[in-house]
Amino acid sequence: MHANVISAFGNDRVHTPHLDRLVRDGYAFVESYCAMPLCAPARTSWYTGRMPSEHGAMANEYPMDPGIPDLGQWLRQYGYESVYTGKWHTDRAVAQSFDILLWWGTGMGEIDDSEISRSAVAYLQNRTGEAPFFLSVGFLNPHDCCLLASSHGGPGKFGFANKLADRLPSLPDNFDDDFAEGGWQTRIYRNWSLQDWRYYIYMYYRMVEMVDGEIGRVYDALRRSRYADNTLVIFTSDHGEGLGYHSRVDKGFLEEEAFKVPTVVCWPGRIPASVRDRNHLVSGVDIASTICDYAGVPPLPNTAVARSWRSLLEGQDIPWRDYVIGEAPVFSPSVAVRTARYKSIIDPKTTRLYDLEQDPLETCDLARESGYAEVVKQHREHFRDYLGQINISMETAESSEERKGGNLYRTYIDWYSRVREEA
Amino acid sequence: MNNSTHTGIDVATGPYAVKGIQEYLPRFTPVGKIVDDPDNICFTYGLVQSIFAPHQPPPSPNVVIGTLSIHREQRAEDIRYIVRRQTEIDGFRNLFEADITCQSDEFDTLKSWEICIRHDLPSGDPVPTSLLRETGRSDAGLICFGTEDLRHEYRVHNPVVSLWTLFHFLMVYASEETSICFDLLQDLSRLKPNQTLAFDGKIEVKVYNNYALSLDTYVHTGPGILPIHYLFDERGLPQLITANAVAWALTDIE
Repeated sequence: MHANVISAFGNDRVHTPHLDRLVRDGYAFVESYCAMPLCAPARTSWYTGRMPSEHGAMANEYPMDPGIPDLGQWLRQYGYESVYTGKWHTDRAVAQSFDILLWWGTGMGEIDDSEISRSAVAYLQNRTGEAPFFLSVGFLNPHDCCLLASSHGGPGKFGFANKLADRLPSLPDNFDDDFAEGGWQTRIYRNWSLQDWRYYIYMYYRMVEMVDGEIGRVYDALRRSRYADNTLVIFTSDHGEGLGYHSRVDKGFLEEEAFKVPTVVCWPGRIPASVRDRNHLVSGVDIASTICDYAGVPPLPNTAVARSWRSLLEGQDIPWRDYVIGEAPVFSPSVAVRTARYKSIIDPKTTRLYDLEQDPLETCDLARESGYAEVVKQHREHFRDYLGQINISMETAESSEERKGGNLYRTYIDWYSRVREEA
Repeated sequence: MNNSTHTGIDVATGPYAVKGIQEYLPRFTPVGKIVDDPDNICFTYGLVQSIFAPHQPPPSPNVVIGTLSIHREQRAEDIRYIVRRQTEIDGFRNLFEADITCQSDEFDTLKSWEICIRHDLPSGDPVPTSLLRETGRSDAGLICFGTEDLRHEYRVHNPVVSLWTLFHFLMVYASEETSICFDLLQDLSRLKPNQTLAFDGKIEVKVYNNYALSLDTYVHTGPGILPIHYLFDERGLPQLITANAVAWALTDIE
């Protein structure tokens, strides 16, 4: 879910009363990022507390290191009933990680999300045991946009856009309608008209509204259940969405639209309400540590990068990380380094630098502008510092299949090794 | 880049109302039965899903994932609907059953209902904890619904209908001038106010045996809804209903 598609955050083209309520009830991290803007890698980071290059799932089809424990297994070991419903999309079979699987579906939010929310509500209302529980609810939408994100628009009724002209959202200010020099994505979408792009955004907003109702149903059920007073709720997304920003749809790249995610944590009475935290950089890789912290169990092993949010959520003034890192999928090796003001996107050949305070839409690359050499250097140091913390999953690197360009994982890791040695 | 408002990616893909089921259409045989009494009728639909295939040329592949039956009974004082939806994924079944009472008015406005949902294992045994029962009532502008433990109450300002009960209005009352506003109670549990339904033109599609089927299309749009098209043949039968990832294809009428 794109970070700016919640009406409480100021988007007046989408109506999300239930997410708005979570925002009112909870603590929203405004500067929240995924570990990698792609489903399986990001989700595996949620559940393992490790970055993609550590757990090995460097793209959707890449395997995770089988020896790494995950949150479902870990909490089960400490007496929690671990329960899953909805989209899973990690390399590991869900039954390996969770005690109870509530539902099986098609992988399409339009069909499944209602069933997913009802399965969660039924679980909350029907369970009889007294053991604490960890319930993970994986809604699909607005991920159904992937159906439309192809050169022909999948099943999307783009021709109908003519009749919705007054309801179509405008294009983002950084939508560049000059496709001549575009990359792989623009080659795919070059035949889209401006109206097609606007219809895609219209559809995405409706998908957000659809899942909003389902999130509200589960949240209501929890709040009115006997578990209301002692249950932590975390709402977040595995990745963002291009949504026309930089003339892109889909994900897999490190610009803000794909990298940044909405994140809200609720526990009325324990966590302050209506907080918009713009000062702390957080990551999806932190989620397992945060849950373990609140669950009163030790953190998962070897979670070098992850930090529990608990101190922040409880208002303690503690030293926090200066930067957050995101990795790109194995087919386009690159990392994003985000600090309080700046963000760089570094690949093996180039570095781009953006001043997010002055240029939140990332339109002006400052990396080679005078006066920014020190920032570029600092970000490079952060990158090296990050590489000094992580434990790269070599097993997966070795077993990754040979692809057209060779072993892509190995290419990625070789780049990391070179950067590590720069010092 | 194509800046025209009238061209774009749907130009080459035929009528947009059936774009999501183009691969399925050559397999679709329209139901040809004569309907004597549209007030007492049972429709059975196949649930047709679009498969994610971004790197494949159009059309997107389709697969039938389940069935939906909608049984309407006109009674002396009101109307009763029995709705049953079943999907089966890898042997696991998701079952949804609804018993709905509607007012005997133009829209079959919702009056009261009961829902039962459960998930079954391939063995046929229900998933423990999956059973969910919900009830609801709509009266004098107030709608109340949910489980015994979790009730929702809203004020409504338009007729409240479900997707399953719109058929009758379209079969009996709709015309090219149709343009209505209503509140949708989707799946009888999520209220989506201010929906619109309007005529969206006539199309012709090729179905099984290359038969050319002429269809009147009505489109439903609104907050929280992807455009849904209701497609009626020349005899007024709702042969196809298409949303985005899913469509309903009529397989039988009783």
